[in-house]
Amino acid sequence: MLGGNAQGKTNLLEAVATLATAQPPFARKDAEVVRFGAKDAIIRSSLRRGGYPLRADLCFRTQGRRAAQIDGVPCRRMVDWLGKVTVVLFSRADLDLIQGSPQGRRQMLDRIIRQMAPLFHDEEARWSRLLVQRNALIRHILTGAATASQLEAWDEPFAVAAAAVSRRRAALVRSLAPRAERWLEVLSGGCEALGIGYKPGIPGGDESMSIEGPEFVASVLEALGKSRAQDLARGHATVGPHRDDWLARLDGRDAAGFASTGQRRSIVLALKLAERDLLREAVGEPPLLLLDDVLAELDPSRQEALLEAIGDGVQTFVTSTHLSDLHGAWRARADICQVAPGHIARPSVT
Amino acid sequence: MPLPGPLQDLVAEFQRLPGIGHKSAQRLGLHLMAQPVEAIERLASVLVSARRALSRCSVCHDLADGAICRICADPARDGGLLAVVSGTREVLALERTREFKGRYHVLGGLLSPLDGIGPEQLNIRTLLERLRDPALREVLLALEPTVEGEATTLYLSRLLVPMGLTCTRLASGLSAGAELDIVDEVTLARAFEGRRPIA
Ligand SMILES: [Zn+2]
Repeated sequence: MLGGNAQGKTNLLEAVATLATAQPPFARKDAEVVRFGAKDAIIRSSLRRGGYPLRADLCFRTQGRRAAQIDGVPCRRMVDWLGKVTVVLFSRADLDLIQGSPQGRRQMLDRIIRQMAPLFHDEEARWSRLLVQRNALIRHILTGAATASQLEAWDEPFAVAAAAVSRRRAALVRSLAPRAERWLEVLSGGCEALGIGYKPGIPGGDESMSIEGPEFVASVLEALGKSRAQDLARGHATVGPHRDDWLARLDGRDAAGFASTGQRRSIVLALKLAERDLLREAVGEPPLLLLDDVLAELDPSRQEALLEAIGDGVQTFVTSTHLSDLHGAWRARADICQVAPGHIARPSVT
Repeated sequence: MPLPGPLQDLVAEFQRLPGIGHKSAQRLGLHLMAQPVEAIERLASVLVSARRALSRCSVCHDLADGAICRICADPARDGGLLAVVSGTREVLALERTREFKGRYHVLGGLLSPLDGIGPEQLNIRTLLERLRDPALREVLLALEPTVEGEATTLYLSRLLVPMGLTCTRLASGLSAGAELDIVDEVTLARAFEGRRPIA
């Protein structure tokens, strides 16, 4: 997809990515994806799964619930929708993943989990509702409208919901890590050793912490008790999955601080390939690869490594402003379309 | 084409009702405006008199057409079993199962700091008074499996369990995020049968 900036290239990729989770990957509210002045936004797709054609349509509204249909049949639950389209989205923002904000690193995990675990949508919603309610109570306590003892009723559900979200993320990092480590070995020709670990967002939480068992809920609960004075001083919860993080180590050292720009890009690339492997294993078919404006940022050798890693039979959408950003084999294997506002066309010259 | 002003006002009022979107509001408005004036007057007077005739039961806070609701007044109901629910919708849902033979206490909502609802805003003081009844054997906390329902259950169980009462809650066969009144009756009946004590 070739085109200048703000011509709708990213829009197109986001629409495809939205099909994966029935949820726009970057918007916080459904209304954000609806054109100003319009009431709804519709994505219609024709795809092929396991050799069979399939139609998957989504409708987002400025007001009211979103609607989803598979072959014209409404889907009521996430389980009915998930798994039809899976994607690995690789955009420019991902290049800052390693040295960027913990929020970006959490969102990267959450976008993968949403594609694999239908229940995660409920768990996430429950957890964020609890965070909002508990923070509201903290503010009431600060103004004297509520007593601190009322927190007790919220701490336990908070800890249970927090543990559910952290567990999913930790489990994902655990399965992502060995795959990414293997890919970095390939990309760096065996010179660099990657390590990835998950850090739960509670004081003292580190990679060695056991998150699986019931004792983790107890740890969160205990941490909530200990941080109560701090929570009240700050006016919001300082413990929980909104503080979770993961970190990458290169040859044993923190990659955010020590790795070069090129090395960090290789790590991100390795992670994206690991994500691709994981989704393929989970769903049984390779996910679509969406490379948004990112190829230009990879040097010829990394572009080549990526193309080789993708292999055959993986549909890949690439956006770029200049055809010259794509190196040899990429250009030779591509169907090239020109994107102009509101439409997509094959160019007359290649 | 914009609707005539008075019809617009009517549609706007309907849209404020729960579960009514713009299309349904418009359909209701157009339907009503096609009726004879007498029919509309009858509807309006039924609305007004229903609202005037209904008040809160002085015992359980459910809607009642007298000082005391029918369930509280029914001597056949088991006074040893008390179900704590958030509202009338939940009373109706539990009644439809035909499994529950006890009495109710309607909290009038759930704890929700976001909406400024704390323990003082709920009918908890009168609940504690009712718990002094020596005939009471079991309190069932039949609150929604939402975040707010769970926090309210926890808050109440911390008050109730130290009083030495047998305190139970619905079995969690209900899916997370499901609201009690849309859960089908079979599921709810099972949830009631499988209720479990709160330690
Ligand atoms: Zn009553």
